[in-house]
Amino acid sequence: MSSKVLNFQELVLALSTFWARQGCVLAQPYDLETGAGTFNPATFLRALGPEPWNVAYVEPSRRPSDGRYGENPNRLQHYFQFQVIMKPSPDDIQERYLDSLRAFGIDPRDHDVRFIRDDWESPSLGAWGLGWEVRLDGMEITQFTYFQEVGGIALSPTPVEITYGIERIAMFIQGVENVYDLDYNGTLTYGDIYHENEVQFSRYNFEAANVADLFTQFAMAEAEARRMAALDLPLPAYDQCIKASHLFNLLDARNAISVTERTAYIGRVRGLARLCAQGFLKNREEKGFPLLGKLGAAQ
Amino acid sequence: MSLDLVLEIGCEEIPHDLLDEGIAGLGTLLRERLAAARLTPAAMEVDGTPRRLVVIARGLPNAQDDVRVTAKGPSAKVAKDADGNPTKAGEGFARGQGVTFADLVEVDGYMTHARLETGRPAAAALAELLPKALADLHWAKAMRWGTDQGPFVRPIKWICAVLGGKTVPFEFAGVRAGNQSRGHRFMAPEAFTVSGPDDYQKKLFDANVLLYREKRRERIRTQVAQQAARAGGLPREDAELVAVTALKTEWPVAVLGRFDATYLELPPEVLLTSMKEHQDDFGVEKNGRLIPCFVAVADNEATDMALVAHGNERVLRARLEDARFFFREDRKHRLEALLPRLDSFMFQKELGSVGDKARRVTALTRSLAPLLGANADHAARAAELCKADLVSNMVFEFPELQGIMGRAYALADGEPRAAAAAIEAHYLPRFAGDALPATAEGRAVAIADKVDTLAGIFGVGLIPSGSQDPYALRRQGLGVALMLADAPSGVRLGGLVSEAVEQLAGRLTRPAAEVAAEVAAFLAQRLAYGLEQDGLRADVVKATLAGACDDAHDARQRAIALNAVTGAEGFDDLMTSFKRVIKIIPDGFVPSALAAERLKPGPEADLWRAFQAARERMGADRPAPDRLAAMAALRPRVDAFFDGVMVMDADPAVRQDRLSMLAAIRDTFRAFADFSQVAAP
Repeated sequence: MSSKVLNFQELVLALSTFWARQGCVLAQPYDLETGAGTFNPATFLRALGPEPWNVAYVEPSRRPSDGRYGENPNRLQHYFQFQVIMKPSPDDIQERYLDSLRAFGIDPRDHDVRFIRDDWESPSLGAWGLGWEVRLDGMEITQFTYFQEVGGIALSPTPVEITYGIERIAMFIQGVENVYDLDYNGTLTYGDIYHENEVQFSRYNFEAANVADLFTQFAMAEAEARRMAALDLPLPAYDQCIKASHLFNLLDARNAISVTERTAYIGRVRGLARLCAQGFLKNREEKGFPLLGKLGAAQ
Repeated sequence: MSLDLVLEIGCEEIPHDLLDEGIAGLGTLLRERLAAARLTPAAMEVDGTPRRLVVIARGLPNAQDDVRVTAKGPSAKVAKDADGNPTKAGEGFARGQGVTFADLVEVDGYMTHARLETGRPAAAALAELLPKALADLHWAKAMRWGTDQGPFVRPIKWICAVLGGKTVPFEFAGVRAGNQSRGHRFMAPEAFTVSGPDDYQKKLFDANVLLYREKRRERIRTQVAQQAARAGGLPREDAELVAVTALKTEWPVAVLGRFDATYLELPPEVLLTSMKEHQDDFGVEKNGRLIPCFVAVADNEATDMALVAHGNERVLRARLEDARFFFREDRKHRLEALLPRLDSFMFQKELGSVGDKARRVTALTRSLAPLLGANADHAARAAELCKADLVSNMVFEFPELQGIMGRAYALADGEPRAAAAAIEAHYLPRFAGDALPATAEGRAVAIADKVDTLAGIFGVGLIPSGSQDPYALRRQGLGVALMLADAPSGVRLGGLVSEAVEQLAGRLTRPAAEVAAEVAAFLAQRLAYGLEQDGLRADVVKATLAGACDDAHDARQRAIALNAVTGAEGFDDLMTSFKRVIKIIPDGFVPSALAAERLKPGPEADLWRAFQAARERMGADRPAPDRLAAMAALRPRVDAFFDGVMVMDADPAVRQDRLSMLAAIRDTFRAFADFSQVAAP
């Protein structure tokens, strides 16, 4: 543990190194727009079934409605999550998590670190879990969730998901009040790299995106997902499900979906998520759950 | 000899909103199970923290008592043949009991065998009982973890189960019980050995854990006051916040934080909500006004609490900055400027926008106001504006500030004070036992808003059933009933509902008359519920409302008066008179106009005269207890009439007159209550 204040990319490196040492695969972000690290197939699909799975990765997360044109010091429509999945959840996972804080210079003995109940549910993924938000001196820095169900399927063994809000943590350790002032790598700030992105995408999300086309694309993604699922291609089907979910978020940001229609759209995405989850599980079963032998023995 | 038990279930953080019920549930369950196992302790206490559920039971018997267990076998007829020799069935039962047929005893025609079951040592019985009880403990939300461990509220990290100094050997959720406990997560994480209750309590305290919730609440109250005093203020009292912070901590440590005084431009409710929501911070006041300080409750005595305070200040500052931004955005225009936006804010598909609703509520408020003694202009202005804050930035961010922001913004706009107050009050009562609006204007809007919702939602067929009541119609109906019952007014349930239904013309998917009848009946039922909640007897309430319930306040007065006399002296007079009168009137009897001079002198004319004389005192405008007394006083005349007069006279005209007279009496009684529904004492 160093007493040096970490810049943004050092924080990512510290977390990556820490979780790699815990036996996690260091995966890469998925190459589609996702609302959270949970959407990455390395979480959503790998959480299913009996195979052990430990993974960590950074996920760029898009929340179109949270855009503030680069003017709000705390809100972004595009930010980064550091995501960890461990299945089955290790007995000492809370201690491991607290060690990860020490790895980037936070000693819980010097602060007020709390696990405050925050149960998680994603209606569009048909997923829910129980857990906490972790607070550091009053600030929420992590979502900590034991997944109970994904794609409408009950999970066994139980995966635990740890999602760090890395901008917030970096702001805390750097003592910075505005996300754009974060030291990214010792030379550039977070704002140097991402501010213009916030400005342009806020305009796109709220004003410029073509609503009629978004509706068409949503319908296309939905149809393609169903077609792929029917062809026993759950992975391509799931790509379309991710797209449908993001298109829905864009339509929502454009205020194009009324409160009553909203539920129906979320239900349609959930329907796709279920299909993909079922297809993925069936495929893994046909393959004899290959990781069971490989990682099960190592555990 | 007796034994003491310490049971501690060490968990990952138990949700604060489940901890109380978990502790209570565990207590109830163990008391039952221990009693059933003949192991009732002399004393038992159950408490807990986010990281542990704890049972301390003192004076358990060291073994279960022996007990006679009688097994019942086949009937003697089946077990023995005609000669009294055992049949196959008889011998089979004896064999099953491990005895010979001769050892069986015949009791009440059945073959039985009694044996003495030797009590087991308490440790052995508990090793079986405790894991079962833990498995049966109910949680509103339970989870699994690891590989098929659980369900339990959160993963179990350790179990400490010590009876008479020795570990009770059992396993639950994959965790073996031992004699080790642990202290505070960060301040004293080391394990320590537990030998008994006193040892456990001392070591736990030394390891920075306050086991008892009340102790933690006490410490929070004291420390929060101390921290507030550092800033020269007093904590804003909030028992709920004290309780919540006690449920979230093992070793609460209060810390004072400060914020920029410029944020005091925000209404106090906004400041307090920003502090309380998510952050669990206490406000600090001086001479009844908030000062720019707060007290947070940490769960760690850090070396440098200033560091913890600083972190909390950063978080609160971001929230207050957001709140100020919303406040300033909202203040760029008058509250009424938000009204057009209500037109695109859906209330309910068939019933239209919130804007439509606000217009209906305004019209209804206007006609209700004079009946409630409210200033019609102020009430109607409040109704017009009552939903506007729903589209304000502040309420979008903090939904719990609905009504409060409306009031604050209306005042800042220079709207009449009575109107501003009514905007906030129209949401009352928000829950059972909540206050009613204090002003007549507030009541007018509150009643209009709720009745419009009731009529509308019933009118589109979304009637509450079972636990399905998404629009909280039961609560709203109760609110209307309570407001109308609370004080005299010119409002009548029937008329109120009809007018609300009329306003909704063209929007309802069901026949208006049917809807109006259902809503009126629903309100009467809610009124009954409200009166029963006030401690009135259910049969009395039912009888009173069967009399009449259009005037809710009058109905309440009658119910209270009737409730007071049930079982008291004179009550029998009422009941007897009423029953004698109604009993003799045939079903379907149609009374005719009565000419007093046709009545025969004597008991017949006497009763009529007495009734006429008392009629005024039984009128609806009279205090309910007086009406009851007047009715009771008729008893001797009623008795004399029935004793001396043959009602069913052979002459149909005479019969008609007598029955008509009795019908008039019956109707007067019934206007007060249907006394036949009052249960006999």
